[in-house]
Amino acid sequence: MNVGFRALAVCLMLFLPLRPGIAAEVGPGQVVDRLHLALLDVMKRAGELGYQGRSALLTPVVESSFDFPTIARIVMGRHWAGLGNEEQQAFLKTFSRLSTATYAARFDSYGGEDFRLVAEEPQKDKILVRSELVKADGSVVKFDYLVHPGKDGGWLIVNVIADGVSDLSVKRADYTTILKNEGYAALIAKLNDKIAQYEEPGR
Amino acid sequence: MNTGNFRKMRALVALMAVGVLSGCVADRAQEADPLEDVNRVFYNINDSLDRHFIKPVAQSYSNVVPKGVRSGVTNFFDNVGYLNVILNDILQGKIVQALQDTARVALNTTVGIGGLYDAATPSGFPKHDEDTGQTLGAWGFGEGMYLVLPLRGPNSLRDAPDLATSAVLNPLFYVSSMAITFPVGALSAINHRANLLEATRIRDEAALDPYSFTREAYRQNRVFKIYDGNPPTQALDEDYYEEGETGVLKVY
Repeated sequence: MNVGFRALAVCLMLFLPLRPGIAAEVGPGQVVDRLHLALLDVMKRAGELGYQGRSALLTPVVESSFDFPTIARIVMGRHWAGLGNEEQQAFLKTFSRLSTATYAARFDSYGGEDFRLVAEEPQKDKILVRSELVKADGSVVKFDYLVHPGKDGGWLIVNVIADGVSDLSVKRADYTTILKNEGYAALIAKLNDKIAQYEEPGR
Repeated sequence: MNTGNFRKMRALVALMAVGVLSGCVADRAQEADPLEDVNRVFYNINDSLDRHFIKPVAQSYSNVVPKGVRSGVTNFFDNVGYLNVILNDILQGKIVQALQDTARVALNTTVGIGGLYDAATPSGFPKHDEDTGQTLGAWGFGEGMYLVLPLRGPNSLRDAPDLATSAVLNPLFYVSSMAITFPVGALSAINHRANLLEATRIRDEAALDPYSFTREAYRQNRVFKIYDGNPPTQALDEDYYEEGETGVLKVY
């Protein structure tokens, strides 16, 4: 390969991602990969960053990777339609904050873990991105992400399934029980309590 | 078999029969936790016992006993209860897996010094997770009612028969001396609880209503196991269903 051609190739590689339109075309696997890379980064620097540092790094990644409006609607089940616009927006905001807080609190140390993408399987209009968390001892936890096209283009995660346990379903069972037995205000209060627990000093 | 063991076995077989029969009439309505009120009572009793006695002991055990020793204890109890896995391999028609699992027990019991060391996995005979509930699921039986059993926790009518098969296929079941069965049983229970410390920490941090959270997670993990880690698309699609005002499931 001559020098001129190699230079052209390098230029193309460098500038292609900067072209508008192409940058936005992040595939479903890349959305998951980007989340995993951010998680590994905060895990490896967990002590140095502290909870606040982990949260600051993860918030933009989590918020741009998940379709929180869709997730919020699903976890509220049939109760969603009965809420006013303000209540829906308040829940969405609290839920989104709790999701980031959960990631920042839970991924608080590194023990040699690694993530790997296994496959991308089409499921009607969605893609199931199969991945694995490989621990240092070789044991594996399967993480499957259901990813669908976002309203503004690109792909967004709508569900995480860890060893067969769907985050959406568990949250829906959990939250709708509180809604049914104690009401909307109690649900928001409990979610805020959880955020406060995650944000406690020492995390 | 002495009279005590015979009585125990008869009771377990009766329990198994109830479980199998219940599977025949399982439907969606049953799966909606009709025993919730009773289940919650047992859940609260179990939770209270766990918080005050079992978890603190398991935590101390986890802190004091080195990880390598705990792994040895886990390996021992896995190996001694592995005949149940082999039986269910066969009942599900997984004959090659049954042969591999038989080799696994043979290797671990001999080279692995009575099962304390997992010599089989590095030799190409990995651990499999099969039980009678999974077999009934593979045969097409529905989950049946969700149950919370005293001291045992989450279960279902489809999974309950495994209490019988796992007991009678475990050689420790036939040891009649309380001087052996009590400490061995206690060690098994504490070690098992210690292995769940991380999972219950996550549940306690995340759950608003731990009962509903545990029930949903248990049910889904059971489906995952029945399908050997690859549940069909339909199971995932259920997330996109919502109960309409009429209670009928609808897609949106």
